[in-house]
Amino acid sequence: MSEAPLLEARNLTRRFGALTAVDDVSFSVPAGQVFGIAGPNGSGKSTLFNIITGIPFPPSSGEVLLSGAAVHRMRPHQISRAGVLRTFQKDAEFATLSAFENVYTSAIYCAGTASTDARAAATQALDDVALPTGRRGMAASGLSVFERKQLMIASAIASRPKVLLLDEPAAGLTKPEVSGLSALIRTVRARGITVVLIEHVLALLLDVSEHLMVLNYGRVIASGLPDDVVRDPKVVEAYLGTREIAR
Amino acid sequence: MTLDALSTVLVSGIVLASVYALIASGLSLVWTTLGIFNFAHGALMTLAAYLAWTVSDAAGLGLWLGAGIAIAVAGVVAAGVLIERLIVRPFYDHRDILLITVMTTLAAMIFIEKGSQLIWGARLKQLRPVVPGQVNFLGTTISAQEALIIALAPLLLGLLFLFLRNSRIGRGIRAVGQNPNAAKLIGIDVSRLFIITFALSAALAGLTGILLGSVRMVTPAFGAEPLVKALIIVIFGGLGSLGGTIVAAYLLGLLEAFLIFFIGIYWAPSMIFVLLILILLVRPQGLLGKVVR
Repeated sequence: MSEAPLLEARNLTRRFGALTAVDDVSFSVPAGQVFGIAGPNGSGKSTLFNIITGIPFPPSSGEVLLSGAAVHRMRPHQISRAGVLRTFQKDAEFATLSAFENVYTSAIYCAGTASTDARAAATQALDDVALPTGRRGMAASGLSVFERKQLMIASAIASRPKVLLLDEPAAGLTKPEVSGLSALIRTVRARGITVVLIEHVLALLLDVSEHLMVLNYGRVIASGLPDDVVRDPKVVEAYLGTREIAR
Repeated sequence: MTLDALSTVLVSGIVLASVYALIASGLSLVWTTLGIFNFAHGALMTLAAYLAWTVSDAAGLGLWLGAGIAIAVAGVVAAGVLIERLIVRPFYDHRDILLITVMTTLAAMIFIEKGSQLIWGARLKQLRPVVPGQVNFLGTTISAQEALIIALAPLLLGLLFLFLRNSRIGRGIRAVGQNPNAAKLIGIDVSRLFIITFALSAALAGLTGILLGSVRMVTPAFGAEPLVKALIIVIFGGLGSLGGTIVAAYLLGLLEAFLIFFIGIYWAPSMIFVLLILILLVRPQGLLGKVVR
């Protein structure tokens, strides 16, 4: 248990003029964990992902370490190649490239796979997420919302990252589709990829996360086991708002 | 209209269209990938024609034409890379990059045009044709150079299409054009691909300048009129669609040739604009462009 965490954030801060969007945030994620991040709108969750990946801006101060090595001074594509991959809330795919080309491009660029192996890796990743074969040649813009999530996860698997940062992947999904997404996240984890998950859908967070951190006004207000965190009075007050959810 | 006249107009239209397709594709490639218009694109044509003339013409160094072509293409590729690095790259993260680069690339266009005038003077120059002689095409006699333009345009554009579709770099360029942030996230070195895009686009402009430089007279403003036509074609074809650009180039070339035949060279350009405006009123996204909601 004394092993160095796979991803570690130390005192991360991001200021925009007088506004401090992320304020002295520190956390560490062991390899293989699903680490959940919750918080009300505007609490700094997505900004935290932005400064970890350097897209579109780096932190104002603080450090990001991957397997103990600093990555926060690297350029965005170098951070990706080092093993930190992030998804956006929407428009994460390349719209006119086919589903297969999307995953294939991730495999050759991010994982650095040779083209023949990348073809096999892309097919395997699409099999893993069970995207129907008949849909794989279709432009990504023509896929349904859930199929785009499948594509997003397949691209992530083919990229072979060490850590996958998922930014509100359940946005726009129906309840049954959220269950499907839960299974997809478990598939990612089963491939040995550590997951950091930002999500508003608490059911999904509680279902897949082993550790939960809650932000409010850019600061960490609670961190620990998900069941304990959702009972924390500060969290109930700041984010959950009702006793029923905390129960 | 007699059959001979039809054939002559058709062939003339195909030659025009081939030149337009080559020049507009380079412009379209930069737009599709970076979301900006390079107004110095036509000036790169001019620069290539002058460089090739200087190396290969008897009044210049008098070397083999092949050497002139190679040096000219290398020269404009270097100029394209310089344009990207010096006057486009500093504004990548600026929200008004489109407007700023209109000004910076226009400035580069003027710089190259006036620089060409200082170096080569205002006197008309013409390159030796790559292939001398005449050939018969669709019942009309044209210069072998024009036949070369007709043959090379689809070949070069086909190669460009295959490169973008099947190569690692080509896929990267397409990915960057659609979603630069997502491209960075999957480990694509976006700024490197921007340089490659500018280099490819400049090479296309350079080759077009060399091919056209033996059919038309080369002056410092040699690339200005093709640039305007290329802009129209890229918009008419549908912004962001290389296929649309190529289709539009061939349509516009043929349309221009027929309009010149029927209403004369003075009215044809105005009529082209009127027709294009009418078409864009009905289909504002262009021929193959997608509706943005």
